[in-house]
Amino acid sequence: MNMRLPARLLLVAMLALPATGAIASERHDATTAAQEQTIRDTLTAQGYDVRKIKREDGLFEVYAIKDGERLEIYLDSAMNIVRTKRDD
Amino acid sequence: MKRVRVWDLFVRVFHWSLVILFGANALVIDEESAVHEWIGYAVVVLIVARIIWGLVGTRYARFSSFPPSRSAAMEQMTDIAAGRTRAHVGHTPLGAWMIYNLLVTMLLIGLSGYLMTTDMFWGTEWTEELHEILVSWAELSVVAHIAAVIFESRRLHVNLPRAMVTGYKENMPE
Repeated sequence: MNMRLPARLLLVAMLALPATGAIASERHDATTAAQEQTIRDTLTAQGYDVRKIKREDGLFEVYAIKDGERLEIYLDSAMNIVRTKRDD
Repeated sequence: MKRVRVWDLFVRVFHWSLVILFGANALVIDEESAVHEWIGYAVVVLIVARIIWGLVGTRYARFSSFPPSRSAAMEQMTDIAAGRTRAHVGHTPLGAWMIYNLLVTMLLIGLSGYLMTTDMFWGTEWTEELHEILVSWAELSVVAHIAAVIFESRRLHVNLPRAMVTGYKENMPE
C-alpha cells in the first residue's frame, strides 16, 4: 500500500489493541450452584460471613470474614478446610 | 536544528519507575501477594508526587504547560492529517490527554485495589471487576501511548523515547 511506515505502524498497533483487553481478566473454572450452596451453608454455620466462592488450583477458594478477620479459605473436593490465609 | 532541555530528572525517574512498577504488577507479580499490594500503593504515591510536581515543578513538568485542550488536540490531529510537522517542545496536546488519562486511571486502579482489602468490599465481585477493567484500560492506553510515541518520533524526526531518558529533545527546529 501507499501508506508511509509511521502510519502503517500506527494501524498495526490499533488493530492489536483489542487483544490486550483479555490480559487482565482471570479465567475461573466454574463451581456448580449446588457446590456453592453447600460451601456457603457449611461455613455460615461455622460463623463465617461468606463473600465469594471460586476455584483455584483444584481447590475451592472462599473469601469470607470471621471474628473481624478477612480470610481466604481453601477447601478440597470433600469440603474440608485445608488452608486458611489471613489478609493482614 | 537544535537540542532542547525538556524533561527534568524527576519527570524521567517518575516515568520509568511507573513503567517498571505497573508492568511488574500487571504482568508478572502474583495478584494475590502482599508485593502486589505494596507495588500498587507505591504507584499511588508516585502519582501523587507527580501531581505535586505538576503544580510546582520545572516548566515542562507543570500541568500549565500542557493543559487538556480539545481545540489544541483537534489542531494537532489536523496537522498530522495535513502532513504539517509542528514540533511541540513539551508534551503535545494529544500527549497531554494521554497523560491525564493515565494519571487518573492509575489512581483509580490503586483505589479499587485498596477497596478490595477493606472489610466492606472484601470478596465482592464488582470491586474486583472494576479493578480488572481499569487495568485492561491502562494496558490498552499504554499500547496506544507507545504506538503514538513511535509514530510521532518518526514523523517529526525527534527521538522521543531517548528524550525521556536523557532529558533533551535533539533535532528540534529553530
